[in-house]
Amino acid sequence: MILLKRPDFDNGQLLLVDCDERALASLQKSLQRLGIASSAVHSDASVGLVDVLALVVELDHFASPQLVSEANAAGVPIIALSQHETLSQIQRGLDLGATALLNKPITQGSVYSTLMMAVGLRERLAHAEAQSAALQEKVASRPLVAQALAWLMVELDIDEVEAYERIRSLSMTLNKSLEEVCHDLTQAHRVGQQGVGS
Amino acid sequence: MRDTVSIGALLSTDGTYHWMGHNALTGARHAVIELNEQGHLDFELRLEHVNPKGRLECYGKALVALQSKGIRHVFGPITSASRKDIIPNLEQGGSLLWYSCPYEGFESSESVIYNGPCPNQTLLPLLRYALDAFGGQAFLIGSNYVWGWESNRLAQEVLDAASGVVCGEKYVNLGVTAFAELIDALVSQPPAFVLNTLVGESSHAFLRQLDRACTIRGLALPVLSCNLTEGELAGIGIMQTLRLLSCGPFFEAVDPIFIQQQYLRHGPHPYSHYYASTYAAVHLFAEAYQRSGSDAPEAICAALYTAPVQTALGDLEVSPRNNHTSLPCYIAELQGSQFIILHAEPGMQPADPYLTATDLSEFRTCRKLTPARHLRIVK
Repeated sequence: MILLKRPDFDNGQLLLVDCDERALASLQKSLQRLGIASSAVHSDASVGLVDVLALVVELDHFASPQLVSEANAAGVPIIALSQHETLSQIQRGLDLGATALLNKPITQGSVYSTLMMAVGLRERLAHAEAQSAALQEKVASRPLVAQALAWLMVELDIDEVEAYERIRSLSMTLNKSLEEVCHDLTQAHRVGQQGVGS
Repeated sequence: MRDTVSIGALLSTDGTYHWMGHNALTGARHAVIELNEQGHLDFELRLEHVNPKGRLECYGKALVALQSKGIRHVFGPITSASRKDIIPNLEQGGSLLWYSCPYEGFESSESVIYNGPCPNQTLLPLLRYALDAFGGQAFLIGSNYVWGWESNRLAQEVLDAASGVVCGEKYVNLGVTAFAELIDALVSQPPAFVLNTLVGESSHAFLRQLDRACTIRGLALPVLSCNLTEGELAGIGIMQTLRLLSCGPFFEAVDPIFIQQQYLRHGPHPYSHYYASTYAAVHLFAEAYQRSGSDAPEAICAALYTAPVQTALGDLEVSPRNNHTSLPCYIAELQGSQFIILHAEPGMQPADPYLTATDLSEFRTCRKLTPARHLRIVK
């Protein structure tokens, strides 16, 4: 389980992106009551994302693709805001990287729960993405492990199980990952071969 | 002496979709005149019209102006964007909106009686017809707001189920009338049909320009729409080669006797489904008020739910579950200056605004799609 932690509301703020006058007034009033700072930005205005906790992006007047792209790259949670319950708007929100949708008219009770849902899901997505990247790296290194195993089996005339056990043991002794050890072994083998040939 | 009950019309008779607004307003006015003349009601109706001129930011204020006069029942508006905008005001002011236009669904407000069709009552039957008649390669064009977005998204889902292809998709802001580049692309590689969810002037300009281009090439390209009515023919002009198909709960050809009566009584008007639906909505209200003796929205709704009401669209039943009306569905093609009925769905179609009771997998049966064939004029 990933523990959902309270964002640093004291030092962070929400960016209210492309919100119309009515939505802005409603959000600002609601956020003020929650004790959360906010700033309004429109039409891809240049802003830093360092202290930004989340973006609330109004889909019905959306004009900030660059800002949203930067927020996605920085892992900043995005909440889509719309007055429509349609699947096309929900899809649009998802395409923009939103992890929650806030429907208009905005009610006091919905703002905090939507914000925290967006933050929590963003964290889970980031965690899942990191896990997936690590696994992909492992999969990508499989040929390297196979090469190292094959070299050890030939050089030391041992079977596959013993070759693997030696690599694993080396990995634990050197406190290096299995893949790093295999990389070092195959590199050493290549250098040796080059030495023989020259 | 009978009591007077004031009702409001929140309809733009200026702006980019003024044709629809005019039609709907005429329907409401004619209904009020006739009901007052018939004298069978315990009250008299008085219609107060406000004109937001097609400007989204004016609808809220216009509604509040009606509410400040004690009006609790408002007929209109035309676009979904304006309806969405005023729902908070309706809820706050305890008013009921009588919405009579086709819309994209995904809404079920207790403050609205939906008397216009949602996609399962228009778009889906129209697409079913088009897939059978023309094939599965479609180009989707729409106005850049929720009506266009959602209608076209649903069309994509249907085409996907039917193994059809979306050749292209384009959205333009309300009022845009320049389509040269798009039309060049459309006529050089014509799809089996175009789904047009443009609104008002944009739609008229697109159809005129596309018709010109198709005429030069002798291309009878079918263009489908769920909001094209007799009320807009003056803006479109006479089509030379384009095949315009529309879908709705009413066309003049559906009930020639009613049209003749209206013509004799009120003179020549386009008696479109915007007209007939708003005309029917006023009848629904009058009957509900007569039944309940109150203009409180809860009492009006409760009275409406009890039994169907006979109207120009047929015996209309409002669902207590979602405030949507069961409606007839006709598919018609424009021939000259008249829509000719091509197909009628059997009976009244209950509304399914969230498509939770609609099975799109039925479109899989359309998978043996006929290849796109366009009639060419041979001289």
